[in-house]
Amino acid sequence: MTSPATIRDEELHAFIDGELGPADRVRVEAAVEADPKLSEQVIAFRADKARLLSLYGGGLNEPLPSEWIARIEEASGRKPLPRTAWAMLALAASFVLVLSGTIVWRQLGPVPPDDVVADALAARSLEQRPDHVVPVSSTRDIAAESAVMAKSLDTRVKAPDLSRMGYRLVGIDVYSAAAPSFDLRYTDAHGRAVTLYIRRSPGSTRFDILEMKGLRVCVWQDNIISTVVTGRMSAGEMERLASLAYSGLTL
Amino acid sequence: MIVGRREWFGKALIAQLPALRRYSRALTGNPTLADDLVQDTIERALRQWEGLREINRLSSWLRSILHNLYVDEIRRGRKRGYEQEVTELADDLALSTPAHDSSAALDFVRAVDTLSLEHRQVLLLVGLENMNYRDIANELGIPIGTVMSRLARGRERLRGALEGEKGRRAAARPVETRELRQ
Repeated sequence: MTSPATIRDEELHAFIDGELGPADRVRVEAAVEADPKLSEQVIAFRADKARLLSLYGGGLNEPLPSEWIARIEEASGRKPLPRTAWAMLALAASFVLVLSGTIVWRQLGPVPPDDVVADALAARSLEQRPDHVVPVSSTRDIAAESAVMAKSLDTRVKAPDLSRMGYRLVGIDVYSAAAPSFDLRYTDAHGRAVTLYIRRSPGSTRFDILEMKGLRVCVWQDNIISTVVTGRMSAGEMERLASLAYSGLTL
Repeated sequence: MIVGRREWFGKALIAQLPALRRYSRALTGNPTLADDLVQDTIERALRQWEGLREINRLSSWLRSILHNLYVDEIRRGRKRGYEQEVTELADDLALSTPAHDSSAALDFVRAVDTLSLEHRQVLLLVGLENMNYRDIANELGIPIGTVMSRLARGRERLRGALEGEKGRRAAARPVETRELRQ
């Protein structure tokens, strides 16, 4: 299937996929409107694209094989059970000591001034005033702001959907003074607020769930982005929420 | 309660499985092989997860693992019940479409199956995963221009197969060694 000399095949498909810049889009659109054969091609390719999605796009709600879930849970969480009750008690005692020490350190340890957690908390409390406040009221707003965020942070991220846990995105505070950062504000039906703070990572990795200033704070940082989720909730709820936020960041 | 990164990774991995399974079925056209590949992907991901530095690229990372495993399967010449499986998948998909459309659905699945692995991969990343060209180029480690040309060729061959013109030439599934070389 060929296109007129002025429109390359690759351009035609980029037009179909919305990948052209404004000037090229206008040029290809004009050519398509002027050429019935080209117009037929576009219709056919669009129909094929839609059919591919309609045929293969289902199945997301199909139950997963239970052995997959069991294997992942076994590998990612549970330790092998000790063979004797004494061994079990000893192990439990050692865990209590280690974990309680860790929790105390994490609750009371000083926060470095340039720490992403400190900045996330300052953004949440509005101690640091945002450069822009973007209200969000529609999926179109979310898509547009996700695009801005991805461009500013130069990585593939989008505002995660937390509706499964009852939270709705209501606004995004944008900080652009030093380094671009975004504080995504969510609320639930009871007015409880959750924030998701995102900015570029300094390059190191970090993972923590903390309790600070009466808030549960979860920080996950890789070598590309730093994310901090804050809210008033139990550690278990934060764990689920942070997992949902993390999964939702992936496009 | 301190949640370990390993535990969190497990939860994130589980969250990705429905989409990964869907992609695997569309890529292989073979439900049994698709599930075997997802299972093997899980095992490899659990072994290598600490090497994953970019958390927002988990889905891309998993697809890459699955794709490599699939290429290994092709190299080993695994063809177990292949034709039957394609028909089975086509039947399954056709059953989920309106009766008047079921033969068109069968034709479409069979036409997709005539495409080379590279073409199927790019078509699915655009059409099923709704990814943009730049992200696809990053995921596959190829220039955007190559993504565009593979997409154009893939769609043209799919159209040709559907129209039954080039379809007859492409009806025999491309030789798998050729797929690997492209």
